[in-house]
Amino acid sequence: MTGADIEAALQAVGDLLAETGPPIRLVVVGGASLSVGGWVARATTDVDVLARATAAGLVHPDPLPDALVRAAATVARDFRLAPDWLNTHVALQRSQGMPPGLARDLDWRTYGPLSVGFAGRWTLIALKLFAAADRGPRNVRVQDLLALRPTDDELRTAATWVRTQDASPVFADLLDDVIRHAQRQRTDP
Amino acid sequence: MLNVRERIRKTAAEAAVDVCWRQWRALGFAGAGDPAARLRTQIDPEALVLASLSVAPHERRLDDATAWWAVAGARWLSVQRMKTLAADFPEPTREALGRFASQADVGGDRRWRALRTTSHESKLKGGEPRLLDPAALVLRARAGFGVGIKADVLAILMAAPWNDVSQNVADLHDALGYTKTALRTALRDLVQAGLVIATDAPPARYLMRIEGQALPGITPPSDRDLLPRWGYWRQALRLWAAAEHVCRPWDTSRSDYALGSRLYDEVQRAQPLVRWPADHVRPGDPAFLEAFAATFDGFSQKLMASA
Repeated sequence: MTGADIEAALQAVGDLLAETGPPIRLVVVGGASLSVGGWVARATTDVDVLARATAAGLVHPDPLPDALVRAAATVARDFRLAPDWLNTHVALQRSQGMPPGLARDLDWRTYGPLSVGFAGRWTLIALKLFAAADRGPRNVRVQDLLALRPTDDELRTAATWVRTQDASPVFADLLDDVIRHAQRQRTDP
Repeated sequence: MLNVRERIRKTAAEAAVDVCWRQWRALGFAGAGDPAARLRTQIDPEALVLASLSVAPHERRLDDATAWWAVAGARWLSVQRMKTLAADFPEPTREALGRFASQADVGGDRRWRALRTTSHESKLKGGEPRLLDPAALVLRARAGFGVGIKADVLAILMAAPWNDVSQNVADLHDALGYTKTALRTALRDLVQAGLVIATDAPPARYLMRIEGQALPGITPPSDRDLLPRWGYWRQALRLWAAAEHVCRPWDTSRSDYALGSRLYDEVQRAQPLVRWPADHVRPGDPAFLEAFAATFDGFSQKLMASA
């Protein structure tokens, strides 16, 4: 799905929710945020829901509201998308905590009763840096990280949060490798 | 020039009115005139009433037909099946059913009292119901054996051998809408009574036990092939009623996508009567509503021709 495809699918979910349910607010990260935000042109296969925004703040998204699950399934059928195109897998992986300032770093878009907060650039840098360190410097996450053009200050700040996610020495070495790789790629593309 | 929503609504309303009107004629409603041609499919009586209530705003004489039937034929309707089928019809139909129930109650059939919503009295005279029409086999079976699942199953199986089609439980569920559990229980009793034969190979198929060449009084042997087959009007009439309802021009609450998705749902629910072509556009395609209008018109023409 391109950014336009993602927005069309989310608008369709909103159209269906308009008949059935109360407003729903989701926080989305990953490739969908990169595409909708215009940071990368690559297509993505899913929309990663990291959290739900409620009056109490950002909360774990599971279980997603029934009306949303039904609407997403209908949209999958109608747009020939994967059954789990809208999923919370990333929230399961992110049980250790969110990047600091996430709630303020969201680009909110409205699709009828469905509002989606796409993670902003700083949050994406932090999450992509973590993912790149976790999966190695040749992973597609590194390309996503580079596409965000992080400054040295941003990489340093993001690394501070990433280190809190995995305190092992091996992970710290991998993180340093990714940062060096990103800096090299930025200066010597 | 009509927009696409109006065209779909017009197709649905015209098809439903046409089929309902021909079926009321076959049942002897005086206001409908003599039957123009013999029906090719069996009448589903509850679906006929519900669809007539649904599209009566397009053809007011259907109100006369249901008012007549409330007095003349409601005793051969199943209240429970009416409630079950009504749940799949649009909300205004369910409201109109309350009016029909009031008319039936006032007409002397107390079973409808629980569904009545008004104190409406029908004064309409419509003639005697014509149960001997070959397409009225369900009503005829109910008149003979009592209103219930067994009479309905017998009616379908009576028609089936003439078309060389035996029925399994799933077929009967699609046709009648009764639960599979209720159908299995009814079929077990009908087999024990020697009225129905079950095949051995699973899933069991059922056919009417016929001694000699025909069922006495149902149809002569020479006319066997002409006994109307089951028409799945439960699905067809519900589909038209739903399409007519969701495409009301003053209801702008649905986006084109949401409307297309809803119409696609309705077609899916009308299986096996109609099937959306697998390689055809889906509701997520911006061209879906136009494609739906054309395909729906094709479905409707075919179904009307089969009535």
